[in-house]
Amino acid sequence: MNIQINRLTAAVLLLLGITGFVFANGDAENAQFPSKNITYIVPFNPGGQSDITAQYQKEMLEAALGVNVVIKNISGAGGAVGWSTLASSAPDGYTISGNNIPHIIAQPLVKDNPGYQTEQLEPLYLFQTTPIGLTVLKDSRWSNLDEFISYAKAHPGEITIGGSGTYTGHHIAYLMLQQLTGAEFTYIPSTGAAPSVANFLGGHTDALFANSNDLVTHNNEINVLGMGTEERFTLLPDAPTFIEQGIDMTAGIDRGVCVPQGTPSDVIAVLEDAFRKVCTDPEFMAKMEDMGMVVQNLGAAEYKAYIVKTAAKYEEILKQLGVI
Amino acid sequence: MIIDALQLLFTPWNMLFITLGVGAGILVGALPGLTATMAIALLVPFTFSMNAVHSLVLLGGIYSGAIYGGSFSAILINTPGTPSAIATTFDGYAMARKGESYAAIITATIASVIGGLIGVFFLIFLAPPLSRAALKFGPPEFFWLTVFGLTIIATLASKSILKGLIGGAFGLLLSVIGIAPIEGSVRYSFGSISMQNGIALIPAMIGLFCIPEVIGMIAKKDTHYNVIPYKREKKLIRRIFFRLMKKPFLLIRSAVIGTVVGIIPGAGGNIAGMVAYNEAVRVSKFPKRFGTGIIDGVAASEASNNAEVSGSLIPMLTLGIPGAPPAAVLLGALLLQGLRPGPYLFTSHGEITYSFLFSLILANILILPLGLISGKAMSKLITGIPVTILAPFVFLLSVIGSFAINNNMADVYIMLIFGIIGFIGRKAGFSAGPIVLGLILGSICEQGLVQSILMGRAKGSAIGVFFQRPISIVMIILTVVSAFWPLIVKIKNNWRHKVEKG
Amino acid sequence: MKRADRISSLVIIGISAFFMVEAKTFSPLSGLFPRVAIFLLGGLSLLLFILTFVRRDSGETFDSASFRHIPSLISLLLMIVWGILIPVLGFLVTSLIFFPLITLYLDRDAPGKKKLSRIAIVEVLAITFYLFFTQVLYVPFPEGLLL
Repeated sequence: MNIQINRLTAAVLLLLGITGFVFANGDAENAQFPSKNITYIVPFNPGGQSDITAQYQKEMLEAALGVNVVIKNISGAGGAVGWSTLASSAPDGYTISGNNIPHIIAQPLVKDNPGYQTEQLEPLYLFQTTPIGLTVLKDSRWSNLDEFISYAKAHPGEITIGGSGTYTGHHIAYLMLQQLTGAEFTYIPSTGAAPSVANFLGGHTDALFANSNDLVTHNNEINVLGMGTEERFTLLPDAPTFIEQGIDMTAGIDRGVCVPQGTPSDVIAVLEDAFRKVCTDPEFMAKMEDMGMVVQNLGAAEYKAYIVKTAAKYEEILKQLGVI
Repeated sequence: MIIDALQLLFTPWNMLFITLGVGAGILVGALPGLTATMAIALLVPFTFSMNAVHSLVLLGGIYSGAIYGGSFSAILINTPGTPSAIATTFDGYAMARKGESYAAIITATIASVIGGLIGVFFLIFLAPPLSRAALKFGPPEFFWLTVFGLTIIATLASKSILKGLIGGAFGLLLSVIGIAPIEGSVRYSFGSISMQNGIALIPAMIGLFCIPEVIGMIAKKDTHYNVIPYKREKKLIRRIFFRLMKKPFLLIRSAVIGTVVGIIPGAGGNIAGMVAYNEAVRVSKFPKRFGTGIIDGVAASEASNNAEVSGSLIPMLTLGIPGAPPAAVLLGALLLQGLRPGPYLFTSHGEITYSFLFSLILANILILPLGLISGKAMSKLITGIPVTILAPFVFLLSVIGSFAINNNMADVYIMLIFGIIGFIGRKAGFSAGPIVLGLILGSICEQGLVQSILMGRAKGSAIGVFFQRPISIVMIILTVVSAFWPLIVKIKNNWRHKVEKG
Repeated sequence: MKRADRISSLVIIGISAFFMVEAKTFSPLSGLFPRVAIFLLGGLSLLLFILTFVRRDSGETFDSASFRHIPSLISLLLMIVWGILIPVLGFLVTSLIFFPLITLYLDRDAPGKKKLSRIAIVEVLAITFYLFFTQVLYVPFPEGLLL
């Protein structure tokens, strides 16, 4: 028995020794960034918009950076699990993550234990916006936004508007609409865009805040009362914007990438460059527009400024509503 | 267009992809912890560079194969390989313990093929009207659906209904952990960010089913697992086939249930097997036999879950609303190819779509040879590997499976904790099925409940909304019937007894 | 079974109480469903508890005869430690240590030659799966200090 244990111990120690040796040698302090695989965290489930965009970017990123890009889906808590993972990752540029506005702003503001702070996610590049629009079914009793709002004012709380999640882009659009018009509705959140659309199409909610790509998909069954874009949305030219109807609000979900706070600026520059190359590629931009998204191209500094500005705006709104 | 679709389909590449897909799917499904969703998700990036038909055909094959493959570990080691196979463990494992594991696998194979084909039939011919009908399910209907689902516990908990109900309530409570679906508040997270995610189904399921089994392997003094002198049965396949053909309604009804459950978005294809099993028990003339190891139980569950594959694709293709998690990932693959769900998919992109649908027919047929061969191999493997290697090996797979879901160690810990709970629970008489059912149905139930209340309040009556809609009423009747069925049966028997004595 | 039932029902009632304390802090809408579940759980367990005094014992207990307690507990412990050490030492290394450890422990009484061959099989299995998942499927495993 003792001989067996000794032999076993020896074998294990040998194995550990070899492993350690290999590992130590493989990790020499390195010259150029990037020199090994980059992990691209997608804080949502596979098949969703964030995931698909990352898949599209992956190949071109690998060409631009010269290393493998491994997409890792870490979903949960509306993206919070993925972002808190990023926040605690080493700021060496080898871990990046997709990020979403308003999520990364709203979550730390509203939650007691968000797992990360907005500042811990250093913005890298903003590449798309999915505008949000308010819509009703074609045979609905309201044919334009004015009728909709007047009815709501006369019957506060009776109109039900569906959307995806709480303190997400949809919810914030809903809160802003209430605040700017003085009308009162009832928000019916679902756990995702698809369920909220299903709920709406089945007639269980009177109206819906939806992402542009869902609006485009079901275009022939719906009547869009207002789009949250600055100007009319190219794929939905008949849909009036909120702004042109006198309501000063834009609504959308912005998507970009970020790195952990403290990543050195030269590393950020390399990544930013790569993303710029990928996201200004005409084929990529065409695919984005085809999916119903608005292409943006904001580099690291501009993106950061945008986040700061938007955060201030949201903080204001949420304070006024007594949420924070 | 149909001719074009067929031409697109019958190419050597596609034949290869279907075979590869089904084969790989079966393998993935058979390993506990690896699910169809995961398999499809892992392969989607690879399909990016393939053309649309190839990628859909491959992924469709994987989906069908994986859902079927889950039956292997369900039968052989009492652990559902995928959540859809939970109901297969009830009779499948009982058959394995009697030495009839190969018969169980044959049953699962034949049932899956037939169920899958019936499902594809609905998909091809009735997709648009069916998905429209499914949309009529709103929050109140979902609520009643889950209540109906919970009445299944009476069937699942063979020994003690009371303990089964306790298990179910426990599962419901566990589903609360995490972020509330409605207000987004965090419940029972105890400060941990991972707990904010709630208790993931797969790790809990593996823990509850698999770990006690592994410990059981070690505890029994046998050197090998579940080995009973192999009774050489001639023409087993033919016999089982004819036995199943004598009761066509079993397969048809289960497949219809599977398709319907799959269509309802969010109902969770995971429960298709259990609902079909429940119904099979209810209408059977010998309900007591279920659970002891009869092919009817395996057939009901497996026919249903393969039909659910097609069911989940119906709303996904017509409306872009997936009926189950694997369909959601398939949707991603579709979008990656630049195809958008909706009417255009069946008209301007018709050849691609119909190629895909027809490929599902081939995929299901392929399950027959591939399944029988791999099934036999796997059952020989499981009984052939000495327990001393098998036990820790299954544990290794459990760890891998739990981790690979979200790339999160926390899930492995959840798996371990639920393993302990499952082990103790089993000794105390609580079975795993009701707990898992509660866990699955809990969030759907809560969403239905709270959304309905919000809707009701907006329209004037929070309670009224539950009882005023036609489909809800149907669901309520179904629930009541299902819940009181054992009582009705007793009364019927007593009455018959009196008449005979008469 | 009676004693086991009494213990389990009391434990479950305790768990229900624990969850209830937390649930009191939830907002009305968030707290509705948990409270219903807790009431169900607690109420049914109470019923179970009461029934143990009413019904006759069915007589089922652990079948201690063929149940090897010690090996099961030790194996369970080894598995738990295995799980805990994965993020510390890395998946591959921990598995390479613990997989053979459990196998060897269970095979204590086997001849030496068999033990070596078992270790070999087991290590190969562990490495194969590790490589398959990390290199082919790109599923990253926890890397602790080592692999």
